[in-house]
Amino acid sequence: MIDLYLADTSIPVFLGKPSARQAAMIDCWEDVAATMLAGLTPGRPIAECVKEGIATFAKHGFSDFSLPLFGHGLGTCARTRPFLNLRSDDVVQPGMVVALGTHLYVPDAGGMRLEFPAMITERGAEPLVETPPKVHRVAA
Amino acid sequence: MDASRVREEGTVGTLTEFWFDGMTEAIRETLARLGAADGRVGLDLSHPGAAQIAPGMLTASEYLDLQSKLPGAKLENGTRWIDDVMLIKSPAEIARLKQAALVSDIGFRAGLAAVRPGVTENHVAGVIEQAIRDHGSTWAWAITGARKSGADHGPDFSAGSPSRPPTAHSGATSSSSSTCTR
Repeated sequence: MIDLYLADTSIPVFLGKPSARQAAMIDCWEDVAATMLAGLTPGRPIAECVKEGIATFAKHGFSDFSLPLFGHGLGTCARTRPFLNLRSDDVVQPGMVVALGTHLYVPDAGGMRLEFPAMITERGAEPLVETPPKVHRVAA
Repeated sequence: MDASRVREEGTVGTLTEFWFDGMTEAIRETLARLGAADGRVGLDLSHPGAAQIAPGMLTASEYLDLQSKLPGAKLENGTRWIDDVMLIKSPAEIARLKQAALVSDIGFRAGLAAVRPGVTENHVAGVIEQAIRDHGSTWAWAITGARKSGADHGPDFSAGSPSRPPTAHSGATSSSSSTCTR
């Protein structure tokens, strides 16, 4: 928090070597995060972008372990519009700042959560952090 | 104390001060003076569908208090109106958000460097918090190790986090969060 403004950054770290199941989860999670980041372009209804995220979880077979929630607005508060879920009636606009979220939790296998600050410009969503929205690996 | 700070740091035009739990009475007096006590009153309640309320939103008891003090008013959820004002960020706001993000990068890198077998997630959370505070953050909520998230059979609150924090081990994921929110 800087001058009351938040970053709300959360990026997963994986320690060791993933199992096949975990590797599939990581592929899915990174695909969803990339899809959502690429999809937030000005003029698009937020709900339409959210459908792409949900479809990407489905493509990888992880719908049952994901949340249909992909983040929220960001400022001095993180419970603010635009909410990135199917109920949103907001349209992506330049000047919005969001914390993009990606949630995948598989019991006994792993959990990954993204909170990723990004600003909407005329060109789309620009990350405010340098750290990429990937699962970062650490050797065991 | 809060009023002087708001006066100094905020951009508010008219500031109505109150003491202790006098907020609802101050609202009643202000609306009565403006002749608006029987009008539509937007309140900072909660976002429809949101699972949590944000800091600053009215409590249920404050709502009931206002309801009894303003019997002629039509009380409505005004969060949408407030969000309309906050939806597009000004250049000054974006500068602060960028700085906060930069500091969270520093926190993430510090946390990442601290992750190794045998280190507790609670320790990593502390490393992140120290790094971001050392770079100007005035708040932190590092969720690393805070609770069970499906990552593995880690402990929940009742099992003792942070007194018995989970230990980083091979094959586990952990979200490093910094400069976060409640």
